[in-house]
Amino acid sequence: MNERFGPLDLLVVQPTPFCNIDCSYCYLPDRGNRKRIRPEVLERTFAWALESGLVRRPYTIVWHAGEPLVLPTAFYEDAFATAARFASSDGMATHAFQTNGTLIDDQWCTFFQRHDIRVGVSVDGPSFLHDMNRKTRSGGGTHDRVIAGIRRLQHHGISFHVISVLTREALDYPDELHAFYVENGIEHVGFNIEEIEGPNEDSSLSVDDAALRYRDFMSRFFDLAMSGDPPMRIREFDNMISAVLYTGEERLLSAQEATPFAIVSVDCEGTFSTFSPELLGLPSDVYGGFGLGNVFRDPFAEVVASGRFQSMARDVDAGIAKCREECSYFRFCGGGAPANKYFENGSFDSTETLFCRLQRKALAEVVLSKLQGPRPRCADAA
Amino acid sequence: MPPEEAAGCEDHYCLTVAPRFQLRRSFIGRIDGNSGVEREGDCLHSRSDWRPLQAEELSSLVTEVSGPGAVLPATHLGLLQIPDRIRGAWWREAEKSAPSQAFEQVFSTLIDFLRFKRLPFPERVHLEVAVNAPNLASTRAAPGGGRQGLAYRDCAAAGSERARQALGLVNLGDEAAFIVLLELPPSTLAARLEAAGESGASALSPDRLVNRYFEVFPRQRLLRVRLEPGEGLWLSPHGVVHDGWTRGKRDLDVVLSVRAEVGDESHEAVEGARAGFGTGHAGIEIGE
Repeated sequence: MNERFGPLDLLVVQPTPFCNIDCSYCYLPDRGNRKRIRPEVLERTFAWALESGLVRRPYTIVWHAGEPLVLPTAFYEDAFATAARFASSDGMATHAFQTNGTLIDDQWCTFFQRHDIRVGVSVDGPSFLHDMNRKTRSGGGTHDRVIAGIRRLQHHGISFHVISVLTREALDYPDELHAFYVENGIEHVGFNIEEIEGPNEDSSLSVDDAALRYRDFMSRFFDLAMSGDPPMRIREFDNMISAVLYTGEERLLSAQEATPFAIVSVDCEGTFSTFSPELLGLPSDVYGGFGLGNVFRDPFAEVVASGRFQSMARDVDAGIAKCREECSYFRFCGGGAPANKYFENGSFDSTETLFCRLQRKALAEVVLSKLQGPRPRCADAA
Repeated sequence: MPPEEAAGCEDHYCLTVAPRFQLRRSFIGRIDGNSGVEREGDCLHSRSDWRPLQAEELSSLVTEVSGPGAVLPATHLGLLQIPDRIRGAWWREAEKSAPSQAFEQVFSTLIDFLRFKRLPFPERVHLEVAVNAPNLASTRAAPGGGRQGLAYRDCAAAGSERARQALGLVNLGDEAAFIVLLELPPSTLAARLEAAGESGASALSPDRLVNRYFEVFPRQRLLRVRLEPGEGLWLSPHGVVHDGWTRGKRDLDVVLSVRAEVGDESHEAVEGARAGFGTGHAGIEIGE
């Protein structure tokens, strides 16, 4: 039965809900809570994953959903040792941190190196964009501290990627963003868009011209990124180019979020969920919450038989079926992200979202136009 | 009371940071004023008694243009900043011994950037880079050699049907550059002259209009705008009386101008500008 689900790609573990900063677009509802995950919860989490039968190939443990670096390195030394005790011959786990970067110091860098950790830093570009949303609790900017953290990573020779959130304002500044990455030695970038999720009930991109402006931004950024030697690696372009060029059987870009138990998210009390990681901990009138069980009490077989999971999975499937039927971009997408559908449309059983319009449709159009031929000269400069 | 002080309520250009640009430095310490012009032959130069503008003078000049979809109005002159990579690319080409096709690529890249920023832009523009020595009170070249001095439209070259007018200026040099300008549009110059009893001022050619205005109002304050390397100033399509100023500089002054052709019926341009101040691109040829 378990072969119907997973395999597990990402185990997202929330070491603490607490975050030391207070971004205006954050989807985490409880980021002032200083609770931390207990050793026995961690142990049960890894045991649950192993017992579930979902570990059938190498997977990644992502420490996120709260700022992971607010806990000391000693916590993670113990946590990693616990994870190692539950290692499976079917799939080794690697560790990844998604951090706001403000707490990275030499001690963290030594730790990252010792454990060969994949590090992602959240930075929204130059300070005038970054500090617009990524603020301290007293409203101050965090850019200087993030850059200091990036400098430490570079000093230690640790490779990292960054994730930048694109807001409406950011779409006016592709050149400035590109210059920021180049000047700061950042070679691998992922662009998220400001999404409507949980407490972030509106997005600066919920405007009529967002798709047009996103397309203009991405088109320009594509040219800038490709002008480098070597070209700057942009996650969105890499993924979409792969999807466009792939000519084999249907391959779905975002299948991971819509595939039951490809992602398992566990909070610091041991409550877990699947599908989009953002769902964990958020309320739902439709399902009575997105939590599917607890690692102490609920074996996998019982969870997948539960009414809540069955309802969620049925609605996610129904939404994807509609996307397949209605949307000509389906092959570049695979049916969208369930969390976006739920928080924008009120149901998993729905289709287009802001994420679709921008990160799938507009992006596909940009990549297709770039792959089809050289851009036209738009200026006659004498 | 000098006549230029009596006439102080007409429309004037405002200064702003152009929408979708971020500058490292604000207007504080960027703008000086003086006490008008001096004449050298046929040429009008700014006087050299520059002083920093007072806070109240600055506040009447500087406004913010922001908000979703904002574009630089024709009533505003907008500060801008080009990416360092474009300025660097220009210098890499400039330092080669022979000009290459890559210059065109650099200019094309710059135009793409400025268009992306949605600056008001005609289809066809001309890019020119002027290199001037330090210690000049004017850098505006006349077609036959020498200096044109303060003007808002270039003298048409012999045999040329169309004159050109600057739309924007960018400091490509490694040292601050200075643009001297008059914050009054041509329509206001004509209106002030007519108010001072000069009937038919709006029918004057651009050259004559500027000359006559400064004959009547020689103490009219000019502004001197400091542009750091890579910074620029986007002008109004209605025409901005301006010139360069390299006094006090140590390095060569290297300023790129984006220019558009304008019709040769100059009085129509002034009339159009008067009617359309703040509403359009009168007098500027758009399209090929």
